[in-house]
Amino acid sequence: MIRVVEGMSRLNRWKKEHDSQIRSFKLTLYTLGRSPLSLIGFCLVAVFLIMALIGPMIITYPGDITGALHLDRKLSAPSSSHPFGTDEVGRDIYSRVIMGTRLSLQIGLIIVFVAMGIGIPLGMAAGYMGGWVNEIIMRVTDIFLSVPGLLLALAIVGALGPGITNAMIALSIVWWPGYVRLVQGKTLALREEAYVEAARSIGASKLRLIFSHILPNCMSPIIVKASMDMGMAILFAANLGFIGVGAQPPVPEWGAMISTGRNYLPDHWWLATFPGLAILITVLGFNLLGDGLRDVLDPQSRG
Amino acid sequence: MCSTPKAEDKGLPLLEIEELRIEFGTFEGVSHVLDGVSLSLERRGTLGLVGETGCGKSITAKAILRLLPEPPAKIVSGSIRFQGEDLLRKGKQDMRKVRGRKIAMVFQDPMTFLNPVFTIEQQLVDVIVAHDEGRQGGRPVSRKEAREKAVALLRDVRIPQPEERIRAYPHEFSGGMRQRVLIAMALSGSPDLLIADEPTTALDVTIQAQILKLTRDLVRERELSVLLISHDLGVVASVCRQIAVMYAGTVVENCSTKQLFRNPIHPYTQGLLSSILTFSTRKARPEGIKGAIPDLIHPPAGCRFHPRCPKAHELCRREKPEAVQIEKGHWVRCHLHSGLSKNG
Amino acid sequence: MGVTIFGLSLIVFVISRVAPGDPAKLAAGPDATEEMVEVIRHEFGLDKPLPYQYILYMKGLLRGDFGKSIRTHRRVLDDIKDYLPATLELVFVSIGFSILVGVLFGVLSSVYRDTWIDHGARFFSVAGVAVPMFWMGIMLQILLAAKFQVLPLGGRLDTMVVPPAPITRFFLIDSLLLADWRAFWNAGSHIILPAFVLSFPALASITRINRAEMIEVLHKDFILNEKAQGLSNRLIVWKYTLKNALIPTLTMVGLRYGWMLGGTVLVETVFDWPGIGHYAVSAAVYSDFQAVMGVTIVLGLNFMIANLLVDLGYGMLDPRVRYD
Repeated sequence: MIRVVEGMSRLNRWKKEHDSQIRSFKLTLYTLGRSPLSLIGFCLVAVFLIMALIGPMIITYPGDITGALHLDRKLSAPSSSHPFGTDEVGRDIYSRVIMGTRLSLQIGLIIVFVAMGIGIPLGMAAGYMGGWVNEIIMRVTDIFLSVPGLLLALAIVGALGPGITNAMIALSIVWWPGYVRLVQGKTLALREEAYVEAARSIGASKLRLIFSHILPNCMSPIIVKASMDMGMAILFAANLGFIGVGAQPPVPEWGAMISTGRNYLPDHWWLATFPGLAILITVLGFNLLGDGLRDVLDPQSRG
Repeated sequence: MCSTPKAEDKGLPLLEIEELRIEFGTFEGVSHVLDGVSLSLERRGTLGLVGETGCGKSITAKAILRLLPEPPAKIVSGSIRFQGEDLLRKGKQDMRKVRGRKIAMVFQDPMTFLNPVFTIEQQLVDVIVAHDEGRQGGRPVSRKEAREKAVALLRDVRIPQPEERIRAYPHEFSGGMRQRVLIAMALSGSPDLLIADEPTTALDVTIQAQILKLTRDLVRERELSVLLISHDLGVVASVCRQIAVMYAGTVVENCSTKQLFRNPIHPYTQGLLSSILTFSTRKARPEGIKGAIPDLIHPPAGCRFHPRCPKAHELCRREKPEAVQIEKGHWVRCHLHSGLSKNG
Repeated sequence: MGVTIFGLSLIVFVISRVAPGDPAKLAAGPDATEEMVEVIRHEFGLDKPLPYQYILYMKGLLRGDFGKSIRTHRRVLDDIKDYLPATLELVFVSIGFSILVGVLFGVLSSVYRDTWIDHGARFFSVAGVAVPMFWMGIMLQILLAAKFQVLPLGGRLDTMVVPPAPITRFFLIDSLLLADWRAFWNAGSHIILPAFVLSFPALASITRINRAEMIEVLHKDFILNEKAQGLSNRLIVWKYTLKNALIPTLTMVGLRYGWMLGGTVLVETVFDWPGIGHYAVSAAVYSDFQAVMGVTIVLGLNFMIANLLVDLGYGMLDPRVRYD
């Protein structure tokens, strides 16, 4: 009995001490929950991630992912055994679309992380050091941003040759400038903040300043941007796949599948339709989630 | 229940607010912002509405012109009679005809209350043309005529070189000039009542004095009635002959300016005066009023001032005081004086 | 701006030379002999050292010479001249449509807030950016062209229709100027689908930001003042609020224009539109560097010009940023 009372009073003390944090957490949940759209986004992304993880377990024709040929079953319409129909060599489209989820997740993660890995340090260096370092980095960033992204990616892949790896390289190159701009701006602003001045005056080293003071405060907009970029990166990869310079058949990448499916329109509409729906739902999910996160984490910025 | 005597021979009061109650829906609950506001203003009268930030004076002013957004705000009960008609019962179109033409409002911060991407000329001309629309008979005013009228208005508010300056944008004017433009805009419809909501708060002290003098001159020249709202007693005293003191959503004292300074009755009014006047009271230093304004979502029971009142007693905690006349033209809402007779 | 162009050309050049494989061999074809490959290599200057190649390239650029396409064997400049008008016509119609409809929807959505109009517009504005353009084009082709046969499947004109005489090389304008109604109608029906698909994400973004800005401005003090002065709601919304809201919307328009230029690659492929997007795709698949570089630089320039126009637009809308 005394234990319970002790526990309760400790809990109350903790509550009092952390009152402001509890309040802002409650506000976060309230804001996030208030928007049905961001909840939908969260669910869609969750579904996407689950599909990617358990993919191999729920597909019906694992052999159909790449190589197999079942010409007897080719181009059959959606049915109970093939919910999305079969493609031009008889592969089950449903299985391929599900496996495409896993592939897209990998593609998206690699592109975004590489872009962040290049862009964030460059941005912090530019913002923190200022002067000619800043000038050069920002100029180069501007040059990369002066060309529409898909075109630049196309040019790069055109030079390197078609293929999923080259497409990822190209897209990472297209994406990093965005992070440089974001982080540079934030770092520049934070550098002037009072608490950074204070830390500097007591002799904190540059690296420590960057890691423990500036970086945490950049994290919110970075997280927002990264979650929206996941969707966009997957979309762009599909764009390249569709054009023919991204993933090559027989890899079950959604864009490439649509490209092949295009040849069998309009009678065999299912080849192109279902992979496209998958892209739409995935990108929509990440966009909604990113939006919701922005409302919570970074309300001043606007898309 | 009226707080100023009707016995004056001016006929019906120009503006009469009776027991106005307004609620605001917020994230954390319903805020009872106005809890029975009553006041009245006769023709050519000048009434000042004084109180701390958050007491509801701005809300009262906006309520007169129905400028409160009605989903979060809700007018629970009460009436606002202007020239005999209850404004709360008017439809949207009718209300639009009142705004600017019968009753005009001058706002607080001229930088944020003028549209930054249009010239003064465009904004004034549109307002003048809009006022002309409701007028019966005659030819509608042309834009050229409206422009001439706008220039004349700018001259009336003592803006130098109005023909040239009218083509400027708001950010090219100084604060005092912008405030004059707002006043000109308000006067463009020849209103009977001018409501000024903290018109000098955002200005430097010297400019304040100029604007207040301008206001007094205009009142005289145009036979205007004025409702002046401010947290600054000095500002109100320099323009108004009547003062109503507001606290937490109610008018607690209502009397002439002279009576207020000579004989403040309500403890809050006394507190206000002692916070600012040092040489004319016996005390050497200004005293504040202890405590803070109440949370209007869970307001105190009884008299809303009782938690901060140095003279509060049991009755104050339980019941809201009614308005009582202390001397001629001097009304108070306070239990300390409910026993006094109506003739002081 | 000059520095940016210079930098861009440098980057594009570097990219093209980074490629594995031998472009000369590629151009010569599988049956070529060593000699033929060498001839081609020399013709394209591929046997010179890299910095020298770059200088040659820059000199050419300044003259407007983008080199020769390995695929079409014509000057890239001529190819671009042929295909650019089609793309520009498509892009201009698309961006015009997105701006007009996007601003309209944004305003209506903000005025009728929280009604079904607003919810519909908001949903569309978020979903619209997520739809893969090429897939949407294909779906619309299936529905409208194949199933219901309301609109043509692709191309700029039906094969039987003679294109109007080239004045601006914009079919819609030229046919109007020449009163060639058949060509006008035909060109119009062909441009509807690709322009709609191309405009879709931009339309969604513009609706979104315009709505958000309108709502923000409607809460501002000066709007309250205008209401207090008795101005009509129509005037307040469409003149006084909109002009303020357009300023950030303009930023979005500029941004979206860039994405739209990139999108031409997809839409022109789906609809067989003979523009430089389609040309760039064929070039990329073929590893035709000169052509890809040329298109990248031309469209990059186009985007830079658009951004300049956006800056001018700010000056027109917001008097506070003008320097005079």
